Amino acid sequence: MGTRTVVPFGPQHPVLPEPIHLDLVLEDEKVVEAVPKIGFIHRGFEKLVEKMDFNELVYVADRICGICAFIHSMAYCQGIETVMHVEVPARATYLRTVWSELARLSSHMLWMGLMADAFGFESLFMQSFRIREKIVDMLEEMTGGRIILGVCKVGGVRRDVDNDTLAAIVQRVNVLAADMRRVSDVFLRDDSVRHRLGGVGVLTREQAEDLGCVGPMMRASGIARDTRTLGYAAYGSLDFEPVVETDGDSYARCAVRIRECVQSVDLINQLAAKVPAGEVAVKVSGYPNGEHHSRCEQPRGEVIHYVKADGTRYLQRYRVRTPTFANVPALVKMLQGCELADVPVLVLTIDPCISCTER
Amino acid sequence: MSDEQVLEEIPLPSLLDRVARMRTEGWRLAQASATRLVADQEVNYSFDRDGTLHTLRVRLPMTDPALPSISRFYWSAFLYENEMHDLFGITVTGMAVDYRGAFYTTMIPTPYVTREPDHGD
Amino acid sequence: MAVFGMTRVVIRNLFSRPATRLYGTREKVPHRAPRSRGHIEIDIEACIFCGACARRCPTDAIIVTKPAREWNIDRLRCCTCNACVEVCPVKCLRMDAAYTSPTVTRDKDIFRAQPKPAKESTTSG
Repeated sequence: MGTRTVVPFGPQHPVLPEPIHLDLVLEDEKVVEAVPKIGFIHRGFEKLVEKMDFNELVYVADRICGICAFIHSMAYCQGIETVMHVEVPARATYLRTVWSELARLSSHMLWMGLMADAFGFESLFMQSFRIREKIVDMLEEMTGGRIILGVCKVGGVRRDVDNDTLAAIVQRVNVLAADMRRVSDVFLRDDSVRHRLGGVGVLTREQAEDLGCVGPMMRASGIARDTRTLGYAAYGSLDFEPVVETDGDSYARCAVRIRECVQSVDLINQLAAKVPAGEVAVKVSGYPNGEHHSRCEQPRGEVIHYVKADGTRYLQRYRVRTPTFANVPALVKMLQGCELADVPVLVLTIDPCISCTER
Repeated sequence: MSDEQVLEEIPLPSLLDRVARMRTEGWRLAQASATRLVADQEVNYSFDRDGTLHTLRVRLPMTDPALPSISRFYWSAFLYENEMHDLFGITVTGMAVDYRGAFYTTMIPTPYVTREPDHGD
Repeated sequence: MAVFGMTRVVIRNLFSRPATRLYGTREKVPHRAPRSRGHIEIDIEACIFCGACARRCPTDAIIVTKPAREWNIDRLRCCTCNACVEVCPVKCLRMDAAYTSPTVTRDKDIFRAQPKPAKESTTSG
């Protein structure tokens, strides 16, 4: 029986993209217990409803996260549009979906790079980021921003992309897909990567259900649920299935995210083939009155934007429940019984976006 | 969006029984949040199953709001309840992991309780 | 064999150009797309000082003083959201793609964009 030591992990740690603190109780090299502490990046976004009216909150929603920003603003706009019964033009929904899928690609490539960095494979990290750079360049050419796109507004989108430009972008995405496959093959087939990822952080299907996991965490444990199947934006007219693996370990989660990248490329091709012509925004007048839970599928899982309005300019409540918030209990459970050297892999396997979690 | 959303307001004493029933029926806890209104506060517990979102709402008074914890049914609820306690000052008894106010360390305690004066139009 | 997958990538990289932009040594101007959000420019002669941009700005970066015919913007508060450009009734604002230059003064300093009080009957140069 070894003696127990408490090792503080974070909030500043080379492997963490954002600050989170874990108190790891160790017995020799095994983690017996882990107590998380978040709150280092709490900015009190939800209190801004008192100062900013419902149109200005789109800018706030855009800036909740530094990786998955666009889908936040889309979810917020969808919530307000449902409350105000605004019908967004079809072209706008298609453009929103294209940008969501590109954001998903860029987020998954970022995650792959960070995961490689977590187990020490720096050149793979750089290769993933090299590909991601091309994706954010495409986003910048279409919208003006690399991550914080600033293109969503209540009633549609603020920028239009003509069909020729869109076709050229899709062409570049397809070329990039071959590059992505070369890099993701290293993740899936390289022996050293398999040793680091295989069998680490196993979550059975029951555990994933009990802990309320969302996103690739639950899909890697065999639960075939994807919020995109609800049919928001243009997803109703697309043909896709949730990507599922059954092993439930870090390798399975990596495989789910890589296959989702491939699926995103396919979805972007489907969208570009049938994007309709027309307006990209409708004029919205009046104030919202009512409440709605707007749900979207972020790269990390299901995000819920709850808006409650009472007919004035300012909302009564704006609450964002991000996917990492739902995945943190799974992290705590997975850390019990793991090796100390696996802690970075486990922290990154939930794809932590702590700035989303704490808003 | 085509997902179905149901809102149900329930009295506070029946909260634990309803949540226990949701658990046995296989609902997943999607989110829990508090809203501070003019005369009272409300706490929403949203559950998801097969794309349907079912929300249970309880009303709490403005002074000394107190709730029992649902973390014996849904372990992951301790995060939402600690957040409610730290930001809104709602006392939640029986949390699975109780941070005792140290979850979010803010400069002023319970920052979401004070509200800026309402703006005119 | 699954151990040498990365070796091929590394060898290919040895014999190709750098993947990073050589900003600072070869490229003197940072890479920007035509639509990139850089900073706000104003055609001050066309401005009617209605104040719509200042009301719309989510970060309160713009201050418009009608009697003095002055329009100033706090560059460090501006988040380049484009709201002012969209709401301007005479379209005198536009988004330029170039970055703002670095500054050492605190963000309370206001950068005056051409505060030329134009008289009613004359046009100043």
